[in-house]
Amino acid sequence: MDLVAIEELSVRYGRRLVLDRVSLSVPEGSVYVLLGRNGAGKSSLVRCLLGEQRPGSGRVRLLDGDVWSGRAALLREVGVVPEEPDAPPSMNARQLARFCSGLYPSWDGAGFAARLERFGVPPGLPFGQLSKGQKGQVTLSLALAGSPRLLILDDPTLGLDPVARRAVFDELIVDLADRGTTVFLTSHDLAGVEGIADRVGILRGGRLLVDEEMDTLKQRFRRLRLPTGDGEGLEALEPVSVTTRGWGSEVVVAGWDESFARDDVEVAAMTLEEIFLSLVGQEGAR
Amino acid sequence: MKSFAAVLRRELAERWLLVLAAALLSLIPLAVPFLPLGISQAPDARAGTAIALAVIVSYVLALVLGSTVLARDLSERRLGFYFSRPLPGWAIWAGKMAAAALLAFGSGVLVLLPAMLLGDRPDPSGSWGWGFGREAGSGLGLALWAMTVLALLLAANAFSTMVRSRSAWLLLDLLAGTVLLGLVGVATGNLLSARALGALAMAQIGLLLAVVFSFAAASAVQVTRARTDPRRGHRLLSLTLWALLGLTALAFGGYGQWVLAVSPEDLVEIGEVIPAPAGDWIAVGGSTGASRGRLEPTFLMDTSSGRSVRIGSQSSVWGGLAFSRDGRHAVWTQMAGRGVLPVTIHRLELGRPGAEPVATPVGFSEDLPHSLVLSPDGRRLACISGQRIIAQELTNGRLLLAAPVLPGETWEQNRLRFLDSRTLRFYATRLQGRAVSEIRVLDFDLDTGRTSREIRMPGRQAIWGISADGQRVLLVSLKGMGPTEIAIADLRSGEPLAGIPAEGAVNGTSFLPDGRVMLVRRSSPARGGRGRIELRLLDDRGAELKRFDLPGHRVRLGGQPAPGLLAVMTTGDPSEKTWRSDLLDLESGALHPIGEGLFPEGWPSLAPGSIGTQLFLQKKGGLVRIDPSGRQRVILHPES
Repeated sequence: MDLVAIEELSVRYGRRLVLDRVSLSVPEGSVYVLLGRNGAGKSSLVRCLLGEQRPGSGRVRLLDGDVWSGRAALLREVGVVPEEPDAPPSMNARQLARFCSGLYPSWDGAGFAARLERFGVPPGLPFGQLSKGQKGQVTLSLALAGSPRLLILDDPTLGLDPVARRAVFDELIVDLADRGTTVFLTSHDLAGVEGIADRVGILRGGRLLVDEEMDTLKQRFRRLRLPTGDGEGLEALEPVSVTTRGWGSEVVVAGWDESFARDDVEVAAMTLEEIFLSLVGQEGAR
Repeated sequence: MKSFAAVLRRELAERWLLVLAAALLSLIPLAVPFLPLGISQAPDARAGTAIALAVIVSYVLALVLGSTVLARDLSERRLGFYFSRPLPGWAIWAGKMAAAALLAFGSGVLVLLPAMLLGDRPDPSGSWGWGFGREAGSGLGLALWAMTVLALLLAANAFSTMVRSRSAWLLLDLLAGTVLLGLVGVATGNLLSARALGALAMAQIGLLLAVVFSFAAASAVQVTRARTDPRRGHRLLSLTLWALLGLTALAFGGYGQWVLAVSPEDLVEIGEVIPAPAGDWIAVGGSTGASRGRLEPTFLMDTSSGRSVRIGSQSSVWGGLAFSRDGRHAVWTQMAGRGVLPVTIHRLELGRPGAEPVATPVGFSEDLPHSLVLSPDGRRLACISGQRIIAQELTNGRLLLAAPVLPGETWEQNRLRFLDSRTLRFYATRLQGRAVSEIRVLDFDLDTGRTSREIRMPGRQAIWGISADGQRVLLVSLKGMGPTEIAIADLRSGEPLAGIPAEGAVNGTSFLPDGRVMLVRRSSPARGGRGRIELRLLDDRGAELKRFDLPGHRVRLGGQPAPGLLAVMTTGDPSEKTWRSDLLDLESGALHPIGEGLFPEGWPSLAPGSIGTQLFLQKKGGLVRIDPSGRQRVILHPES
């Protein structure tokens, strides 16, 4: 069963098309990572996913229900970590937990307290006085304490230092391991998400450029180093970028085929970050 | 409800310091009596200060909370805290708004509390009477206060959302707001001009409720449909708000038009009917139903065709209306602005079919004119205004006379009569206690503006009637509780013509149009009996011509629907609930019954057969015309 199903979603702000017929789905138990540069449409998609934004066209279903009309009921089984921690500044973590505990049927108060302790967040300190990292940790703890079937995280590590980023992903991994939670995650922290993503989507200019399994993606992308003038048969490998060097050419291909392996061609696997940069990185360079 | 309660609790908890501040402010009124402010009554001072402070605190909080509780969260993207949780949009909106309203109104109540616990109430005649008056402590006052707090809160939210969104929709908001305010202003002005104050008060309460509902609905739509999108929120808020307020303004204006488009058929109660001396026109006033705010309009109405012309509200025009003797002209006072003064004299040519009222050049700005009379040709108007007897040409406003009334407060001087178009007669009676010391009659020559004649009649008597030609008066000398002697005096000579000894209680006397006198005597009922009514018809010198006995113990005389037939209404019912009406044949004394419960609207001195003599008010409220053949025609049938 798909816990997230988006079909032909388009969103427009005035004349600007922010999302253009985006379709994707997240099967139960999987981790979907949506990548894209700033302004690619990630946050708009998350707002649609949370029922905060009405789609211009298309359908958005969450836990098999229409999220615009059934938002409140559906969110009882969804944990949310927003891009900007938005809890009221005067409330401390304990008060936040008290407020949320009545809203979720499977509230895990002890788990919440244990997470705060692990993160080292003082539960009595007002939210407004916490550091950015601590705020993120509190919102993640709140999201996980509802024992959600689906966790939606909108760039949860934005602006965090490496230690705090690591803590967020560690906590996610623990929860994934314990409960098999389904996760929909947007992030700029490609290294951080690479280890946990089952499926990856890449947005560029409101269009979904890539939507496939992480392994498949990594299987099909390769960086090739070729001697000068030795590019025969390269077209079939769907070259994404070609960079000319003194010793030859460096080519990134999106349709790697083992049969192309030759002694004079150096083939290297690519990280998610490299794949992402090869697909959308040239945009900024131009 | 659980979600609503959760939001409400959280919002209240976030602003609990406001309650503390209100509690501290509530101590201020207790200190006021000790301050050198010159307020002598401590309870009055405490109550007044507490109310003023409570109102200010609640209104300021309503504005501050209204402009921040939703709009700021939305613009600073903090509303997502609620929307990313399983909380319905309505619960988020209602919880936040209810918390703000409770805090604003509750803080006001908290400020009031200590003074109220001490039993302090504002004294309307005391230091604060000018401020809040009697409504201050009433349920209505509390309801209006709460409603105003809510209106301010919701309006502040709407305006704050509009300003914070910084979108081009703000221009539409300004335009729509200006247009709607203009519409409501015009409708309010129209109701004020017509002195439809009851309808205006009702409409304003309705307007306040509709405005509160519109703002509430608009902000609810904003939150539930646009959720965390500020621009879409502004768009939806504006569309909903202006659509609802537009409908409200149209309804307000439409109601005002409906109230003012009142016709005689809309009267639920007929107050008074003044018939023209000749022709078919009458002036009729009364009140409309509660739905029209108990408006009290007055109409000139042609009883033959049913055509009517509204001439102003009863309260301002009554006593300021006159027909010409031939029934072809009518004049009346009409407010020229929104206040009672100034007034302009308007006229209508009743004899010209389709004629419309026109304003004459005659107007009064300092004192309301009263006792209006028209010259026989309908071209000159006389009246009393302030302390002067005024006569003017209606066509060009030329002043013909401005004579002071008689000095002193004991004069009853409100009767004027044109003897002809050139001579105006003024009747005055000086009263001293129950007795009367003097009657004075002045004739003015309007061509010269001078007094042409002055008649003084000393004695203990009052004028009870004036003959149709204005030359004779019925004088009644007063002794004790009732009249004891009646005299007829000729004003041409200033001498009494005849004395009529009053045997027993004389209950009334009147000239008939032909100069004869009708006198009503009622004998006291014997023990267990019903008493007796005696009508005596006297000639113009007081000699008895006829004597009629009528059944019952109380009588009311009407006019003569046909010459020689006088309408009389009698009752023998001790409770006076049932009355019978007859036409009394003044020759034979025979009574011709015309029905029960028909009150004659005319009086004996009216010309026989004139419209006034044929009008009767039914017990159930309808106005009917009974012609000499006895045929009844309903003129007005109020639905009460």
